[in-house]
Amino acid sequence: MAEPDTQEDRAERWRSWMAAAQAGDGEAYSRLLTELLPMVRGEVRRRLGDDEAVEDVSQEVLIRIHTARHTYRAERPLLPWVRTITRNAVIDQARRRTRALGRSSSVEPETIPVDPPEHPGGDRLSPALERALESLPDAQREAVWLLKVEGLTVSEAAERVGISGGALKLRAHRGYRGLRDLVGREIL
Amino acid sequence: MTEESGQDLIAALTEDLTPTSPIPPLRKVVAGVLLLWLAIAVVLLLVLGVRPEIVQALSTPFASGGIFAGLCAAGLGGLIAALALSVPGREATVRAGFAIAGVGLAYAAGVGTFLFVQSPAITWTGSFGADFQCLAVAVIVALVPALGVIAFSARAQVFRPMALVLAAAVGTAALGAVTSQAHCPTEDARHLMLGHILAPGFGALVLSLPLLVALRRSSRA
Repeated sequence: MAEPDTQEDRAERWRSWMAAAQAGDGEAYSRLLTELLPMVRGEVRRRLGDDEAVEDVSQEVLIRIHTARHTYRAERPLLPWVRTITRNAVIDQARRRTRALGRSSSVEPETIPVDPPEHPGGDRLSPALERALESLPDAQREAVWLLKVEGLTVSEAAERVGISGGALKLRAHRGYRGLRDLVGREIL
Repeated sequence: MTEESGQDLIAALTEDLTPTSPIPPLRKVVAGVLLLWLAIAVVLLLVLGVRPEIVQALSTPFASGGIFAGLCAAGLGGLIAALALSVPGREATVRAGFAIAGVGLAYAAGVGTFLFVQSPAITWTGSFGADFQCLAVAVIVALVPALGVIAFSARAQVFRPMALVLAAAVGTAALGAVTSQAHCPTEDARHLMLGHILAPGFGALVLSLPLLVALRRSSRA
């Protein structure tokens, strides 16, 4: 029978996985994020209450962990580092919510051309996908467009938009999810 | 968002993961910025000159020496707080930095007030040129170390930019005032208060906004 996983074991495992991730080990990083996500979710839920944004903020925490991974030093425990990132993401969410409550509706400038989109190869997108793409928020549409339609790499697209690669991945990820909800998985 | 999309995100983040070099340990960064300040202070003191009775002056805990020690603590504490604010999970270090800076500033201000009360006659009508000169020296000396803090912070992860630039401005201006204190032989209570002890506050006033702009620009770069 396997020994129960103590807090020390877990802390040591996470520390070593993060050190491996800093060295470019994607598998260790995937394991780490997979183990961290439920804990982050619980922490976010505890701080936000029963809020519908819990999953959204939890995933934002993962993105922040990704963009801040170089600030972690392997000789220090990982948990306080993750907790600070989580707490700040929750604070930012609370600020966004406060701002949204006080903001009047405004129209953001279009960042994506409204002409029928085409793949780089010249194939036109299906009408269903076109409609779905147009219904996405501007930032998500722009990320999906640059990666999937223009075929740019993450770093090229991030440079074009003027944000970090991690932030662009988050926008694209949300965009894909939105598209999937709208037109079904088979299109992607 | 669904839990399934969390797994999708993890897959997206781990795909094409590139190696990254961790930031240097905080104590090394603090030491680096202090060395930067020391180098500038030494050059400036070689040009402007060191006060002739420096050893005597710095051995007075309730006069110049006390102000010197208080400003040193404020400088060190401010630097520690500013740099630790850029690293997740270092809240205890941030608190310690602010505490050291607070105690240092309070001690310097206490000594200044004591000298004030002891002085037989304080004149407020004289020229403020000498006071401003020492404040200017403090801010000039603070500039490069403050930019050093910003360069590190922009590479790290900033959560509270206002607190960070305030701590950096106060800390580095306090170190600048230490340099003034090593150069300026004036023992006049008014000058010590206006030209030396208030330098961290003056630094916060003058440097915070440019440092914030520099931080925002370099964080985006």
